[in-house]
Amino acid sequence: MKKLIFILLVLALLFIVGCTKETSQQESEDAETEDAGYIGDIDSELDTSDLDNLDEDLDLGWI
Amino acid sequence: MKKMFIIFVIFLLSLSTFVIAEENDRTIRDRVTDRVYDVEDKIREGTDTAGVVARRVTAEVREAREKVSSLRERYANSKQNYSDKKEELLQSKERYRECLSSDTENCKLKIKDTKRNAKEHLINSADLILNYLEELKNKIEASEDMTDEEVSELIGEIDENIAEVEEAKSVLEGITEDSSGEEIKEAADTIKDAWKNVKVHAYKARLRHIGAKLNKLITKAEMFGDRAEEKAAEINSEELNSMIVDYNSKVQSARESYELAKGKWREATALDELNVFVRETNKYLKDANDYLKEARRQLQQVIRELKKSNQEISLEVEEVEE
Repeated sequence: MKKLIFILLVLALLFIVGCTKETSQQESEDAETEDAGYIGDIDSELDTSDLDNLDEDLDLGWI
Repeated sequence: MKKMFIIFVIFLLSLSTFVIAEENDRTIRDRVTDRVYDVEDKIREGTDTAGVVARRVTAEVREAREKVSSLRERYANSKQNYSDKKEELLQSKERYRECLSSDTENCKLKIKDTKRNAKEHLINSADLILNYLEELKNKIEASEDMTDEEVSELIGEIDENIAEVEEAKSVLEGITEDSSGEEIKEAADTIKDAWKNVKVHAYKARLRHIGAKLNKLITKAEMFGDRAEEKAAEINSEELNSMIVDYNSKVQSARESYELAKGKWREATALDELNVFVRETNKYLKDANDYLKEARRQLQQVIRELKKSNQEISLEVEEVEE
């Protein structure tokens, strides 16, 4: 039983360390994007494909 | 005793999750707040006319920033609803046609069902447009890259567009499963016409918003080039000078592409030519961004070269209120 508790404690510690590391990585990625000097994902910012065919989709002449 | 230990461990595990969530939330909040205070401080102190012009970070701007992710999510949801219902409606098209010349109970139900789906599809289309406009409006409200006048002008137009689509949507609400095909077509035309009127403004507003972002980045890149030139004058290295010339040429190309894009989006006034203008503008904006990306790589080399001579340039820029 003590072993089980020990393993759970270790897992809890690993979980905390893992999450903290992920947060700091995310922060550094965000900082890099802000300071990149260019727009990181301009394609998605310019993308209007969802709306480009709306005129045709609104054509309900067949009803 | 053992049970106590287990409860303690479970408590510890749950607590750690809350602590991490809280920490994460606090870190993000702190970063946003720090950045806002930083910009505000710079604005207050800002007498440096060489700084990049930025919008004042007001309560409205902050409020708009807080809504960015929820509006993005709302738009993504409406996109999903729209696609699902559109698919469902398309699948019932053939069967609906067959049923028009049949009097069976099944066909009567099918016709009613299709009309109900048509109504939902049209309302989803209206919601898609509205959520697109709301997201765009929010991005512009949250922007520091445009002047207050530009923001007011674009927001005013978007608000008018939203009102127009809302009005068309109210017509769609009147469709029932007993509405005739003609009535449904008329209602569909209402939202179709509203979209035609809105599309040019909405697409141009998006291009202007991205253009403003690029313009600011180009202005900053030009300032870095000037700083590098100043430092290079003290060193007198041919290699460094040539690197800076290359850097400046890339920034200049970015500026030229941006100006071409600006010319294009200004030209776009009619719906039938809109796709061509948007395609060309997108190309120029992407070109400008690619040049900026190349310039940034070159700037990193310049910085490394300067460091060899114990020189450095700051990549911090004063952001001053217009």
